[in-house]
Amino acid sequence: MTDTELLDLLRRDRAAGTEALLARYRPLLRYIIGGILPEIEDGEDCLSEVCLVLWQKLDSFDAAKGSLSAWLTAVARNTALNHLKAHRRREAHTAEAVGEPVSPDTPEQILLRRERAERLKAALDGLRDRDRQLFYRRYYYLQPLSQIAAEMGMTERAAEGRLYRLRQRLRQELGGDEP
Amino acid sequence: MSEWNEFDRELMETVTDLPPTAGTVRAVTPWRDAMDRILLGLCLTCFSLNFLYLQYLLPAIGTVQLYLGFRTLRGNNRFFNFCWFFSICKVILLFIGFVLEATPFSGILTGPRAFLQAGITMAMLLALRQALRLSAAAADRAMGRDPLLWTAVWYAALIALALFWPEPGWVVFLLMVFAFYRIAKSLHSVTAELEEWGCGVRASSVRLSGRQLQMAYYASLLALVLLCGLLSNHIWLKAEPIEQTFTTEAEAARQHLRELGMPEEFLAQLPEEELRQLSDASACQYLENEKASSGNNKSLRLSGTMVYLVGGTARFYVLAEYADSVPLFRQNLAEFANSSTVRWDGACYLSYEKSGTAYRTTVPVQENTETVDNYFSGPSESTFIRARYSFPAGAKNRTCLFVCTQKLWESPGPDTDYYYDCIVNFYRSRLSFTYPYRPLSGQEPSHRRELTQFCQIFEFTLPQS
Repeated sequence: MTDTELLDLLRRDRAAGTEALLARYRPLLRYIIGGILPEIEDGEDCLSEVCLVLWQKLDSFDAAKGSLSAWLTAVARNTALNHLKAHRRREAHTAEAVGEPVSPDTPEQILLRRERAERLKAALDGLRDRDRQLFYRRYYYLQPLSQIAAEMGMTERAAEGRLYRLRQRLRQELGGDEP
Repeated sequence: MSEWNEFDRELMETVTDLPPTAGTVRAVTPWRDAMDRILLGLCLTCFSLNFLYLQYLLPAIGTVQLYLGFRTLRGNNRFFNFCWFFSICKVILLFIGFVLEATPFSGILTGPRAFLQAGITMAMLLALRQALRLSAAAADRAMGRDPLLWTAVWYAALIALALFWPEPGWVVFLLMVFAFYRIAKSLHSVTAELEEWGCGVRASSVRLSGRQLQMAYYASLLALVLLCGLLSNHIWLKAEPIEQTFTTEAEAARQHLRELGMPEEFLAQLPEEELRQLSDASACQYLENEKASSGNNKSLRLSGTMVYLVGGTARFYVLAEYADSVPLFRQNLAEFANSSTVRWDGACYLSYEKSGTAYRTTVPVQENTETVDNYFSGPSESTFIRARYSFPAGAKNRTCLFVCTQKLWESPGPDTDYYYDCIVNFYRSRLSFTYPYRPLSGQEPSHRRELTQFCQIFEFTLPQS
């Protein structure tokens, strides 16, 4: 079943469509969640959450903005990240864990964030495919170094070295604190 | 993430607004990279294209890609593990085969090696088929198509063709290429379909990066092939300083030949064992090859002498004098070319000067009777006499004297004038377009060697008795 057929089914029969979507994309969702939440129990909890979010947000998917798999990836990643933050907050018994990214809400912050995203996009466009893949694995999928190394056919040390060079390059292009 | 600094956190936050493209989503799986390598490896190793070194380059690249692909997937099920093992065997066999080809031992065990390679490839295809089926079953899926079975059938047909019909013609070749294209396309579609559940596979960790491994493999293979080629292309011969003293018998023969008209340059090249054979010579004719029929005749001066012996035989001498500027470290080949004449007793003498001393050495010659298919007269048996040799680096005044005895007639006919053609080919390997070591032979295509040819007709008048 193609993505278009799947979306048609979702429009006609939400329950059957969701079931078909999960049958097809469950390994992908599990894979993305697994990189952020390595514990199996956490992963399964998160997958249930993702299913719920998908059920609620499927209407917001716009095929013109990107592919279904990319959208699912974003949903799974963000849900898993929220799950991780919540887990850490519970562990730290504080309302806000130290060092956690703070959501920008003022107009200036939103503007700054948009600007940063544009600069990062330009920098990422200049990278080679393999480096871009490495970046997304590390900073978007939040995969551990051991997983990145194995899947890209490198040793952990080589992956670390490559990532270090990539960071240096991005730091030069975007600016940032010294290591 | 606690070890991350502010910059890392900033990157992570910012990239939230830049979700990956569909291409990046597809690329970030443990499956795709490995399967792409395997597919590429299969495409490169199943075909052999015999030009521009592709017969070496494509299998070398393809085999390593297969290994790297299976290395990533080896931990998922035992059939992937088998595939990984087979790919290691292929990598090792290829390495040994390529290095052996760069030595004079290139001919040993070629048949068993080829069968072993074919057997391993076939086993790998079948194991890969099972590995994919098991992986599909683990994800509660079933493979609708079975391209790997077809690949195995195609490969079996290819082996059968190689064994029983080595030159099937363009139609069969194109059919096989088309069939492989369809199979490869189908295989690609299947792996693309399986990408979603391919996220479920686990990549195995490695101790050596793919890039480092490839560099080490290719660099060591190239270095060994070049080293073996360099050493093997030079034929080591034991030379001895030339002694200018002759026995009384040999000196008498030299004087006799001088009187018959043999030039001094030839006499100077003849060793004592040759002189003894010529003591009863009755006539001598000397010819210089003014115009070589083809080849680099500027670097090689050719001349020939026919010495008539009793009993209707003659000894032919062809002298090749190499220009000092021509490097001859590589192997050379001299060959008395195809002729219906009966020949025997071939010999080849090299002489040169090094550090002010003149040396001479005898080169072993090969005499083979081969069936030659002539366009006009049909197949006939002919004696080929060949000698392979190299000169030491830095040698000067290098000459090669190539000799054989020929039957002129069984019994003299009514005519007194006889004509004998004498064609000797001098070959030299053309290093830039051949594998570093390749034993030269007269049947090789012209792009593999340079040719200079001595081609003359000796006219001989039978002395009236």
